[in-house]
Amino acid sequence: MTTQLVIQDLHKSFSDLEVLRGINLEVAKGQLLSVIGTSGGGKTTLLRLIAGFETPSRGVIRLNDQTISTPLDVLAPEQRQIGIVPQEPTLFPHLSVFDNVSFGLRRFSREEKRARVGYLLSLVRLSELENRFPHELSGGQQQRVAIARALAPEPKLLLLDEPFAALDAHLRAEIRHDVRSVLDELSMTAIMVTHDQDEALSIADAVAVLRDGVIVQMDSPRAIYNRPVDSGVATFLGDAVLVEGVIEGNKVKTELGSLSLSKEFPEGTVGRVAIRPENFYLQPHLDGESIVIGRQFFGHDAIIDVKTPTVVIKARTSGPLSPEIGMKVSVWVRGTVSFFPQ
Amino acid sequence: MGIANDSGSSSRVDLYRVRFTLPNLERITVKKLLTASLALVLGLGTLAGCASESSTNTNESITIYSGRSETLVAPLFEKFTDETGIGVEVRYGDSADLAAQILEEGDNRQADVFFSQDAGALGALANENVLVELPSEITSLVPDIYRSEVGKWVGVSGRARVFNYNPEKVTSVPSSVLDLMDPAWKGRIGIAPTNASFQAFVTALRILQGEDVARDFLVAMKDNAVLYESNDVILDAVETGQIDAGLINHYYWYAKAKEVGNDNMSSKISWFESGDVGNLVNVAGVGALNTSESTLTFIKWLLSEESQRFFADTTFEYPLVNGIIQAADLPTLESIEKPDINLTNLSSLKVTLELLSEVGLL
Amino acid sequence: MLITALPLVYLVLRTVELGSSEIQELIFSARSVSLLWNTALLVISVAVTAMIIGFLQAWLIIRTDIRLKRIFTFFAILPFALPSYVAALTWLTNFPGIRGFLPAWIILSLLTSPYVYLAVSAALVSQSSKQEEISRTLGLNAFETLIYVTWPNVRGAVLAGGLISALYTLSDFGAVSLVKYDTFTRAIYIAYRSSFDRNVAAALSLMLVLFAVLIYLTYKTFAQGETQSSTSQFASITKLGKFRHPAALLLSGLGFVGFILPVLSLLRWQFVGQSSADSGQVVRAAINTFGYAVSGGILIAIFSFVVAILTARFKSRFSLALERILWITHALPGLVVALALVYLSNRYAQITYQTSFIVIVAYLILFLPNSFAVLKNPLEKSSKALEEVAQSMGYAYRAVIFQLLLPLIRKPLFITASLATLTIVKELPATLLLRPTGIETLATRLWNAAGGKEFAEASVYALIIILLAGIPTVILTLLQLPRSSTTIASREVNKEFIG
Repeated sequence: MTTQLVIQDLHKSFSDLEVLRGINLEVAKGQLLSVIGTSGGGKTTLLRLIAGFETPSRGVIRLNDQTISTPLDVLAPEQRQIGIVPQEPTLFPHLSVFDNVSFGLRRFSREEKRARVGYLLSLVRLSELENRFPHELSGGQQQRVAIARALAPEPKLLLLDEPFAALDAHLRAEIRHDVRSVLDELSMTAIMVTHDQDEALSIADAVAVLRDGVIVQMDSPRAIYNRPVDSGVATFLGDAVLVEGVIEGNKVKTELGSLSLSKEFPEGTVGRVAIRPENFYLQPHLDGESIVIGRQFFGHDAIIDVKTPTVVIKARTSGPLSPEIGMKVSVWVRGTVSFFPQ
Repeated sequence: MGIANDSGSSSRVDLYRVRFTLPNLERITVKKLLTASLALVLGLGTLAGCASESSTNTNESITIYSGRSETLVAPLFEKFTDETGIGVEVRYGDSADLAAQILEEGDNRQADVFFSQDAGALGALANENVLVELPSEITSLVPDIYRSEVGKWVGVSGRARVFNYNPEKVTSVPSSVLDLMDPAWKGRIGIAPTNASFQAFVTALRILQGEDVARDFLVAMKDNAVLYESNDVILDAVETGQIDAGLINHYYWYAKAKEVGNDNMSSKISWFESGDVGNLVNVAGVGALNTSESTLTFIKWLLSEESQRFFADTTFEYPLVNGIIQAADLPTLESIEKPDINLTNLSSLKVTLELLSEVGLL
Repeated sequence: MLITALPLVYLVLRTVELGSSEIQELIFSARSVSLLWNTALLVISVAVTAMIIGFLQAWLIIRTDIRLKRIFTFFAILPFALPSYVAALTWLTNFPGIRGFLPAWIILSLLTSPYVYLAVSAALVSQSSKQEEISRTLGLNAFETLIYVTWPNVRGAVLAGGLISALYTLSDFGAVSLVKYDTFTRAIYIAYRSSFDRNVAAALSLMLVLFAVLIYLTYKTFAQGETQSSTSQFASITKLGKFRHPAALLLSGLGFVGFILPVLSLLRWQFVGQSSADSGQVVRAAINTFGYAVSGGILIAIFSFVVAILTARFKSRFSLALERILWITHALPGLVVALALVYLSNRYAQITYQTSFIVIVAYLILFLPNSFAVLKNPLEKSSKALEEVAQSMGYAYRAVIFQLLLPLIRKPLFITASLATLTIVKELPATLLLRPTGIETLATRLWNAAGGKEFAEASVYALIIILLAGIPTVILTLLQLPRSSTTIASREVNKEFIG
């Protein structure tokens, strides 16, 4: 695995507001890195710095061992070979689909253009639409064209800025899958910023959590979900109930019982425990101390709100067997949980 | 059943349309609004009328359309009101504009008196029978060449066209204004083709020597002349040596001479040979649109010694009433060897303007 | 409301008086051909120049890293503050003797470039710069991006600004008559004042109206399809590099000749001129101007509201015809409207001639189309469903108008009324011909003083007009502009007030 993009100690301030405060990142060739963070957390600024639209206040960006951004010298965007897919499908409204996709292929011959555009449109499954104009396309189709357009000049790196945010929920899953397979097909290195954890976790090779201008954790989707570095990351990447706990042996003692840990901590450490909905197991029980107070039914599964004597928790249960509101239940915790010392 | 079907099938559309085009609904609103706004306009319109320039606090007053500028004649008009008790309302503007406006007004006359900068505009109104005949006791005050032969207007002050030149550059005064067509004058002579006095001179040229001569002259001027906005700018240009000579009205030179002193004038004025059209003497004059007593009083007053002196002393124009002494230094009006022309005929401004624009001088 | 059609009635009446053979002779005369050529040359040159200037200003100010953006924004809009006759007057006093095409071209290009600037900057701000950024990532440099992406995106706005510039030039009277360039408006004036030619004046006016319609149709064929807009919190800023100083110099230069130089020369006349303005006259002129402007402004607001509601909500043949008439009168020069009212009032309503009433009617005819256009847009955008909801809640439609629609367009109504008021302050030909004898306004005093070469006196009135009407117009225009992340620019170009 060769490293394609390296970012070192990247800072960016707008007047007196420091948006990025020291970003360090490495992206390997062919990898899809997902950068996740809250809105306004500096994600878009990071992408714009990589694309060359902004000048860093400090730090270095290197692409394929070529330094492309320093506070003193920024390589012009058109010389970077970095493609970008914006949040809203920003197609050139005066150009057809074909002309949009071939926009970056001006030095190609007619035949080469035709072949390349045809190939890319087939990748994004829009072959029949090349003569349409942007306003004649649906949102999802427009975004596919935007992706084909960005890929056309064979960029070394593709930047995706919340590419699915403007789409309907059911479209999102489908396109996200398509994007992943197109990237694989072309062995394309890509960075996708998003605030949607499903999006980040489902298709990325690695996830970086950007918070307050720094990357607090970067790891594989599975690792980052199961072993968040702090309670903030834990709750950001998915629902979690936070309860107080004390280390006793290799377990943590909480009001919901003694729970297994994936890591060891010194005896007696006080801290907080993050328990995800799928960690809970509910057992209907007439003498149960907890009571079901809410239910979101999804068919295949359900999220149940349960009031225990001390806290309100969210538990994921199988859909068909989910308890009704008002039922008394016993609450069990299974699997390992994350512990964050105070 | 049929009826029910009918209304049923189109009810949506019809109801919709009925609701939104109910005629009286819209009319009431619109009508009320418009009535209210008309009242508002009339109210505010009167407010706008508050700050009138009129000196009227007497019940008797006349309206003057004045082609002569406010700075010059307003003090004179004030004096008139003081002396006679007759108020004046004045509409100032360009003589030709005001003449056109009077014609356009038709029988809805607003002005009692038209005080024009030149005889041409007066002639135009006289020809259209807008001006009334003045009593001979008034017209006889002025020599007949400076008034309408049928008594429709009368000159108030005289203004002579002169050749203004720099004696260091021009050693002999050309004998005729037509001599300026010589290419030797290229770039040396200044004219003001948009100025009414110059245009009156062109009209005179047309009438006395024919359309073709006038056209040839203007074509030559297009080549030779430097174009200026007005007489005083030409005079300044000759004085400062930018050009060698210019065609202006006499009183600009005398006014300047009074301001800086005769000895400090670097340019001179002169007349062409006897009877040359370049020596045209035009007048500023008045015509009446009715013969009411106040109107006639005003015209008579303009020809009184007092106001004749005013023009002689203030503007260095020639007083026209027999026996009134002109400003010192000026050659007498009688001594100017002017061309023989009926000033009423200067009214054909239209043809002159067409000629000027055809040649490209306008 | 049909009074807006009066000038058209007049033109037809008068032209018919001329007789068909004379009309033919006139149309095919050498004079008409040269007028047509002169006018077309000026209109096209001015519109193209204004489009180039306005586009450059907008692009430099909104999309590049040029410094002093706020000042340059002011510079770009300030020529608004100058009525054309004032601008021409200052050029004449600085360069005595200038005449013809060149000065007319320069003066009108500078004066009308703000219309293009406003339209283009609105387009640039509302369209996110994402498209340009993407173009850069696809390998096009800043200049190529300007040509292939920015230009097609703002072409519509540039053309719309160019249309206003062309119509302004076509109907301008002050500047062309002061620099003696022979266009239709000047020929109409000369024909009128040479006393016997008033039918010819009308025929020429009719030709001018046809010319305006032609310009409008040309515009329609060139400008089609609106581009969608989205706002972006990030504006991509093109780095000018070594061009930054030349660009700043260009913008400063335009601001200097477009506004600062004219004002400086007016101020200079205060010191070198011999004439002076009588303070009593100044005050009276200011009072009269105020009275006319405020009453005209209020009336225009009321009428434009009514007409906008009629055309946007009560579609009928009547309202459609009304709208068409408004579009045509939009292109009528003030001079033609003034002459029409002189003629018509003297023939058919003698009592109104030379009254404040007829002056205000002239303002209504001249400026209603603009206000109407400003109001119609928001009314058409507002959903009819809102009104239907109100009606379903038991409001009569009359109540809906006053309690729903009026508050809805309160802001544009206020702005358009204010702009109309300020425009009236600058209006010249109609006020000059129609005002009651003895009533002088700032504009008529300025015109007469300039005519009598009393430049120091004229400059007093010019400065007051700039201060009272010009500057507030500029401020009002700036207030309407939304703020982008980098600068202020315009969103709503008020359909312009053609003086």
